[in-house]
Amino acid sequence: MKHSIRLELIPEDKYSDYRYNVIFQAYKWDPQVGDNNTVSKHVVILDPKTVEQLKSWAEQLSSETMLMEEKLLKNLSLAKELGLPDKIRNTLGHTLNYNRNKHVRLMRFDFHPTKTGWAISEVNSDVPGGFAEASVLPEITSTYFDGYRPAENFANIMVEAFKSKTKAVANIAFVHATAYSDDRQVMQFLSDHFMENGMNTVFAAPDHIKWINKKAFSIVEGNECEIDGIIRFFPLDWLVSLPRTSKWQGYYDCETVSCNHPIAILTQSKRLPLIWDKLDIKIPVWKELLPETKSPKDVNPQNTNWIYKPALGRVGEGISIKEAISKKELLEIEKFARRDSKNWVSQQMFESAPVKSINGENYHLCLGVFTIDGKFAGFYGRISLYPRIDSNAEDISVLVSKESV
Amino acid sequence: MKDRMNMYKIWAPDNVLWTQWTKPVLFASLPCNNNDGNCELKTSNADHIHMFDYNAAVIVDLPGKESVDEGLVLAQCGYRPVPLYNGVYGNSKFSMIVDVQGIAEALQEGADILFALNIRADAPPVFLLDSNRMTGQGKEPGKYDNRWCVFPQDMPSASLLLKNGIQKIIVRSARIQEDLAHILLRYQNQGIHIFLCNNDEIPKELKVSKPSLYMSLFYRFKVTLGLSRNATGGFGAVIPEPQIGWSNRRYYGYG
Repeated sequence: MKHSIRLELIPEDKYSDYRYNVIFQAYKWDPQVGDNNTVSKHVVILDPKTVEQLKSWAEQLSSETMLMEEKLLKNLSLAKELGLPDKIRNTLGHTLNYNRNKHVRLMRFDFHPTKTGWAISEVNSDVPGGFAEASVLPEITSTYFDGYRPAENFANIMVEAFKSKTKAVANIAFVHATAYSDDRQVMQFLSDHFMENGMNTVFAAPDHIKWINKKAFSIVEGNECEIDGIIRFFPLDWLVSLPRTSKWQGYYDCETVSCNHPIAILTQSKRLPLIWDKLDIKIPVWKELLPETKSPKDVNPQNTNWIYKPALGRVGEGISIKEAISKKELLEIEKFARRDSKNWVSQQMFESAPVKSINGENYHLCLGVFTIDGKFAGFYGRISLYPRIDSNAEDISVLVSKESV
Repeated sequence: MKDRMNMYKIWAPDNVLWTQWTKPVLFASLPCNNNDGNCELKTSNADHIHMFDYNAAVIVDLPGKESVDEGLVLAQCGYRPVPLYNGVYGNSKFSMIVDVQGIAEALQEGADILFALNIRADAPPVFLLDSNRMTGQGKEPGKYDNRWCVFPQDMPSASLLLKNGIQKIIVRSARIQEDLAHILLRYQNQGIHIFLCNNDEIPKELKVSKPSLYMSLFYRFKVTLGLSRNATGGFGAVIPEPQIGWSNRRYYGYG
């Protein structure tokens, strides 16, 4: 499909206020990373037809992903090949009573415009980020331009998803690494939005939740209560590192409405494509949009068209895109991937098609497309001057043109 | 009473290079208090670094509000204070592991002082850190864990400092903490001279010791992973040493 993407500059006289507003209204507490300003001076404009196509793909991908999870749950022996920590694999049996209708299922699919059309690099299935960016940035920037509008508001859809599965005035726990401000900013944004919509919220570290008869209870000082819903921004891979006294296994079989339920770990692994043919289900959109994926040991080391990714990777770290990292880093990643191939994956590299700004700079774009319970829930845009989207990338507002370009 | 954004704007004006590194976290989470506007500039023990040097940046790594006070003293000498506090203000003074209330109040009061100063846009920076950032007390369940570390990406690169004429860095602290050593050694390796100044001592040039995991691709990841190992969901008290071999290394995280 042809890309209908444009970059527009935020009016120069508006940018300063925009950046301050992004920091305080969108809880962007890391507006500077190293020497890079991470609040883009641009917005990305999508054509309505492009939006419809991305929505359709994301919803189909979400449906296929949930099918794979449920199929995997019945064939947990296949999970051995996903590169999951032993403690997680040994706990997956606790999830057998999982019922998707009782939880809120959130995913973010990362789309990239390439020289041969759109491709996806991955699904962030466990704890995707970019909530405020998908909700607030378009609302602010849409006031700067005529003829462009925000897409769906992520935060509003998230609130509605919880309201449909909990009581009207529910107690929602925001579980995160409380000392990590990058995480706190995400949680605080969403918590404030939930409170504005009549819900009670609790900020909690993972071990601030206790389990009684498979129900969650908060032991946070001053906020001791039964919890009706959990929004977890603490990766499952980290949970297993907590002491046994934290009872982290409770998340796996709890009946409290969870986002995401730990079943998500089954599709969080980048090694999922290595086993999906064994699941005996149709996943045509995944196969159309994800570049070919192999075990590192099945790739010729001399072939430079393949990149390596850790099975449970994070914000672009550890991905061996040679244009984006030093030779030393490249060699180090390749060495680890080959030596520890069961925890890594190789993927055929796609050639990102950069989008030219009005100043003539070429930016590589990643459009995170959220789905909540299988339905489209907004865009999270990031751009970078080099073809890897990592922590140095700029957050960019995504707007939709009211008419086709 | 200033709102949070206006207070942040005073500490982080957008026409100043170095204030782009100002961390919004504490500003965004602190309660807004009324103050009487009669703020007094505190005195300092470190007279030796108050000789303004256009080629020097200062890193103040002192406990709690002392760091803000010292930053404001240096602001009067012509430096531009840049708060790098990255810990969240918890629900109350007593529920936080690291008590940041003193810093929060000092930032609020200091905004008035700073607003009245006429600091040049190209003034050299004084970066402000809380030396108690990893040493909070009372880590029992239910406490709000707001400990934090400073990472290389929280500060300007050596090349940018050099490009802007900064040739030496004076650390105003009793000692160099491990997380700061990761940053200082990068600077030192690029030719920036590092000095340490404790109280009334004359700043002494020092050779920064190589910290564990220095320049490792996995440093930030490892520290963050250390965070997850803590029962309260926060950082560990020290930067964790590698405990598994490279061959067993995993990546964890979210997108």
